[in-house]
Amino acid sequence: MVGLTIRTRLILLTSAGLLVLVATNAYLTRALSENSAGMVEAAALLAGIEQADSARLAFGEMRYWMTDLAVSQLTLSERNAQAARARMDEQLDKLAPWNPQRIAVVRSELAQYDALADKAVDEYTNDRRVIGNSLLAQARQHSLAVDQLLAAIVTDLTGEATAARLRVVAEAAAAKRLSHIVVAAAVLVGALLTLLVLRSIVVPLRRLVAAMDGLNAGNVAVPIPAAGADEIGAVARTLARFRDTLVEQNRRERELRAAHEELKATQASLIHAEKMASLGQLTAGIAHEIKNPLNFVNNFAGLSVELLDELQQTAGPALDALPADQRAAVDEVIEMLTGNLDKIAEHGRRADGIVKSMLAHSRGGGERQLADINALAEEAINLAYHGVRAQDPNFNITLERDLDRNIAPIALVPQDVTRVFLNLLGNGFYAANKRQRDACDAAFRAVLKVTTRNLGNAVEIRVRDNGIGVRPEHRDKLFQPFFTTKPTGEGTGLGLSISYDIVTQQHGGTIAVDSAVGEFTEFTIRLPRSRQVTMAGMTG
Amino acid sequence: MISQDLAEMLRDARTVISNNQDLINNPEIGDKHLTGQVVLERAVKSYEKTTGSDPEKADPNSRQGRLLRAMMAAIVAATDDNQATINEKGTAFKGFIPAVFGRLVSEEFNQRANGEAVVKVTAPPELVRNRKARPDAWEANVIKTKLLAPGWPKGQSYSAVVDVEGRPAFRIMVPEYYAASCLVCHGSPKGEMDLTGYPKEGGKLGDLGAAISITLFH
Repeated sequence: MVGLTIRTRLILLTSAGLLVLVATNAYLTRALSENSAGMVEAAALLAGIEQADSARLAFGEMRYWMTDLAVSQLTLSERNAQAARARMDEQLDKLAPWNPQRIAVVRSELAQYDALADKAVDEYTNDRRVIGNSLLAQARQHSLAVDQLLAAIVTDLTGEATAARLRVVAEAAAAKRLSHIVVAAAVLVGALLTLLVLRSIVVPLRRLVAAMDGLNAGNVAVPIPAAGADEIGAVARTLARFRDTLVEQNRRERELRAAHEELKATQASLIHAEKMASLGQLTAGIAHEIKNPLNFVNNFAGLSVELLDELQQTAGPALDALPADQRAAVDEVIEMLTGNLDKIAEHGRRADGIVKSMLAHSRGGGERQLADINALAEEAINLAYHGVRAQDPNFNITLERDLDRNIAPIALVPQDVTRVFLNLLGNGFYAANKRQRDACDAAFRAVLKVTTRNLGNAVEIRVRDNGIGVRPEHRDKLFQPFFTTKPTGEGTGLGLSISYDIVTQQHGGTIAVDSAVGEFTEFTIRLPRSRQVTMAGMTG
Repeated sequence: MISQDLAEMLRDARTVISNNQDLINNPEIGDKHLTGQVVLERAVKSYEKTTGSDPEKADPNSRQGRLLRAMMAAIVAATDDNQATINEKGTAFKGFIPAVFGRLVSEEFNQRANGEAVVKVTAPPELVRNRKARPDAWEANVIKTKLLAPGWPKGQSYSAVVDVEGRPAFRIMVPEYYAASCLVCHGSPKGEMDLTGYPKEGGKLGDLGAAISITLFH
């Protein structure tokens, strides 16, 4: 059944039904035909009975009118007798085909009666009553014979008609029974076939509907019924193709969404980079404008110290002549001036350092040359660690290195990349140290790990500390100039900003940050081997 | 002419019976005093009026006288034989009608004529009511070919000398036409039952309704 198309199945089902209908109809037609023949036979026999009865009636009339004629002599009676005789002959003619021999006997008796009765009437007409009576007596014998013959015919015909009727009834009942059996069987078989056909259609259809519902709900893993040779199989094949298309569409949609997200991130990075570039230019401009006045401040502060020394030397004798209390007051003033000038010079230098750092944004770096990134990292680690240790002998941290020794030298500006390393390491030391100090946890062990990896067309450097971490609201501002979470005087807020510029603008690389507050911070730098002028920026 | 005289006498007597039908069929009157003699007297009067001669004065020895007297005796006998019928009280229609009377008179006459003459009132076969009045072959032929012929003069008799059962005889057929009184039973509508219970023939005034057949043997 499954191997057949639905159309073929339905055609077969309908054909089976029609076949049964035609066969039943043919049988019933035959039975009806036979029944009809039986009915015709019975009707003919009934008609025969009626004819025999009519013949008897006509004969009775004939006898009456002949007797009446004998008495009345009226020609009307004679005509009536003749008419009755004609009716009787007509009925006998109709009956003759049924049994010609018996009807011939009736006719013979009738003829003898008629002849004798006619003679009798003639004798009465001629007033010879005695002879008339004698002839009528003879005629009466034949009259009785005719009557008995007709009665016997009626009896026989009635018997035959009854038998024929019973035969017809029996045949009709048999046909009816057989018809009921055939109809019941046809209904049963038809219902069974219909159920089978329906099942062969409905079950796969339900599976198809379930598959469609599943696909509609986005479940591309939903099972699709096996494709048979019928129309539902064709639908299943189409549905399978649709599922494949849906899977492909989903894949493309995911790719598109990922591309879109990447585009959005790139766009954000571009905007950020543009902002950073603008800030860098602004910072450089400000630094340039501040540098000259600052030079004056620094220079005149130094000159003022020298002039104060000269004043002390020149006015030394005079000062010595002063009373002790005045001399002490003058010395105090000079000392205070000297102290002030030293502070001016100190802060001037600090300001100068800041301005120099600011100018580094626009300086453009030095010469690019092949360098061993691992060696640069080691050097920076040593410099940074000992630098901190020099300022804080209590500082202690575990340094871990996972350096990829298969990294070939890469073209870069070594002093600038070292500076980036120093900035990142310095921040890492600070964060780990701060967590150690803030947590007051003796079990805590500050760790800083430097990892390098050869990515083929790029080199990746990771600097990870287990310090205080970066709060989410600070992530976007991390690379902005002058943004710092350190206390005043401990950071300029330019380290990461300069590092960002060096990595992205100068080397065409990327720098990203990943962090969890109170757990870790990890900076990831990727430096391409062949510098490409990309606008790639922060991705973390 | 003997045959015409016999026919006239018979017709006159029958007219008397016809004229007295109401009396005869009156159930309230018993004796109607319509005896054979009364009928004959009235018939003779009518006969005299029609023929201008007294039948009783005919020579009794002549053939005419014998046969006329036989006819008159037959009239009396036919009437007297049915006095019980005529005078029956309580019965209206008694069936003693002119036709029956004519047949009875004829039968009486034939007995009295001793084979010298035969009188029969017959009619076209389809109009005959009593089979005794059925025309024989000659009479039927005359009725059909002569009396009913389109050009046959009204009232004209037909006569011929023919052989009757081996005997030469003079035969005459005197036509009788329906009068108004006849149509009570023989008129329209055809098939409707008349007083006697017989279907009317549908005859019209003046149609040939009967014929008096007279045979005079030589």
